[in-house]
Amino acid sequence: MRVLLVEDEPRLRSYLEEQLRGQGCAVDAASDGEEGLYFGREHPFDVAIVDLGLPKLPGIELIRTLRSEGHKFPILILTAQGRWQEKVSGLEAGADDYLVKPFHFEELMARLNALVRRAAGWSQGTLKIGRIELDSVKQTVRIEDRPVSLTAFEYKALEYLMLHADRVISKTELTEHLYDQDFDRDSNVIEVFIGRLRRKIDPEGRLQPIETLRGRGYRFPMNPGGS
Amino acid sequence: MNSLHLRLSIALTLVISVFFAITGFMLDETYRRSLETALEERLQAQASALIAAASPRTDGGIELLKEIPIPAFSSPDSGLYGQILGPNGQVAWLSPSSGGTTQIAIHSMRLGEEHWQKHTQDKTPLATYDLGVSWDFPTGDPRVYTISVGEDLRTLASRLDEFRKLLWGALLGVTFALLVVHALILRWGLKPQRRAAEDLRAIENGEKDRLEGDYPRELRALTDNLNGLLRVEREHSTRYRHSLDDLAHSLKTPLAVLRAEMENAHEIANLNELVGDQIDRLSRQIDYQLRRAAGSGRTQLMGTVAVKEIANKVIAALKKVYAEKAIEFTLDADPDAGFHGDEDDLLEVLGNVLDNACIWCRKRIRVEARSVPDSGRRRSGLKILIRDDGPGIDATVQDQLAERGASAHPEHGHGIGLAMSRDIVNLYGGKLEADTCCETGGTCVTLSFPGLD
Repeated sequence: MRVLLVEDEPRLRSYLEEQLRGQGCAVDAASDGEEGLYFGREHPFDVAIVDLGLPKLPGIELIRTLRSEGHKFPILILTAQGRWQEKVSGLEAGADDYLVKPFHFEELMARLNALVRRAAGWSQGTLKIGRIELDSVKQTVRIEDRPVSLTAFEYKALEYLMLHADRVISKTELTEHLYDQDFDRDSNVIEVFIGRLRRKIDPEGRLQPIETLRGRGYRFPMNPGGS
Repeated sequence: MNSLHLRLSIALTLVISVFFAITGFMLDETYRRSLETALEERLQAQASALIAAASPRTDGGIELLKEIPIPAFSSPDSGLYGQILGPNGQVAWLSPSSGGTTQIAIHSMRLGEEHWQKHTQDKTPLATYDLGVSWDFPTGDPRVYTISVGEDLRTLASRLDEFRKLLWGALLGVTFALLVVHALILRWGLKPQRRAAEDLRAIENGEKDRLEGDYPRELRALTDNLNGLLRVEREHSTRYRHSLDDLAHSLKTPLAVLRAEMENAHEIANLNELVGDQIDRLSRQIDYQLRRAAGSGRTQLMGTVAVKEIANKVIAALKKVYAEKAIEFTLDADPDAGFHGDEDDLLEVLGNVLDNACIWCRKRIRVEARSVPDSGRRRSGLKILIRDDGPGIDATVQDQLAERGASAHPEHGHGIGLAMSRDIVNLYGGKLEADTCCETGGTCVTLSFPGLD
């Protein structure tokens, strides 16, 4: 998933960036409200993390502006105070969930996953399409009830494709919404990764869960099982 | 206009001045009229006397049969003139005071005709009365004579002047005296206000800590409210100080633990978990103490917050946060159910209690808000009930809630929200009770607040 992170405390910001990338997320990090607004307008995000105590443009203003301009990606607010007045203000301005600092990274990741799931229209914790079942809470995959071990990137790629099932997703879109350190070296490496993913989830080539559409991209059909 | 004293002074001065001016003018006018009426009556009487004393001759002249009982007609400086005109308009008789010349303008009257006039004859202002009369002649044909009486207006004028001097002099004197008296009364009347201002200054200087003294009813609304405010603000600062003391103490403990363990630590892995735990503990304490200290508890001069509105806000927020649980919220609030205090405090209380309900409930949460009339108090009390269909309340949490005062520092996450709400509710003289509902088996939290004057 592509995450917009708006946090002014530099150590916390770089820590979160690193952790999120380690989970296969593509991250755009802003250090103040104005930069956050600029990023929010420029790129397509799956979810945003906004700290409420921001310089230049306060978090709540940023959220309100983004919402009024039609940006619908879910927003999670980080608040230092536990006060309900702040939480309610943030949620009223357009946020979807909150986390009180300090927090455990796992908690943050779980909430982000839940928000992205909800936004894609999935209210359950598990995505099941055909014989492939994704547990979004535990971040695990089962093929025909057999658990499959994937890297963080591979899991996120599969999740992205499944959340947007039946939609053609270009290579560019995939590279924009996901992250792996190898991307910096070679942007065509996505083909290699998708190949690797296919081999892991469909070693015998029976299910054909990921279609390649020449020149256009990849698609996870709602009815996989060979064409 | 910014001065009460000035306002009253100007108004009173204006009113008194206008009142006395009007009175003066009315007295003046009345006196003048009475003088004129007297003059008219006099002239008429004198004319009658002339008629009685006169007797016409056959040649048209007039003869005075006897002495005119009005000596003024005879003396030259009397200012009173008489004249009689014959039927043909010629002067038949002139009073000796006229000095041989006609003083009164010549107008021939018809029988029974009267004429009043004021005119100036030879620089003498006169008021004249002409009357047409006739006597019975042996020949039988009536002849009309004009009887005229005139008075020098200067006498009347001088009398009026004298009166005026007296009148206005007296009025001015009385007005002045009255203004002085009213200034004194104002000073005396505004004395309680001056006293209140002095007392306020004493409070500012730290000599006193409340407005003592017996203030008049009109000032009572201000002074009572002020005293209430002072008391609450003082309690608030005391609470802040205590909370900061408590906070410092409760932060030092986990920090001390960390320090000790760090010096002791043999394995990094253990240290990680320990540090994590202590951080959580520190964070919770900071939240708890600061949120407690921030509770205002002020009812003085606070408006009434509509509970329905705030409840809706909190429910909307929680619906987002717990979207996956798809909780059914029911809100049943009296439209006049109001909280007399800080809106943020109500948000905090409802937020905590409802959040707790969301965590524990299965599917349903019901919120009820009732306005409870408090006899003898102007503004009604309030009762809010929050019921969920969860497993009910834990006995340990219930015990913790029942503990009063600062000793109830919840160390673990459970119940911290409810304890916070209880503390804020207590600030307002209210009560928070948590119980297990007999019908649903879930938790029922009741918040009750007293009414206010």
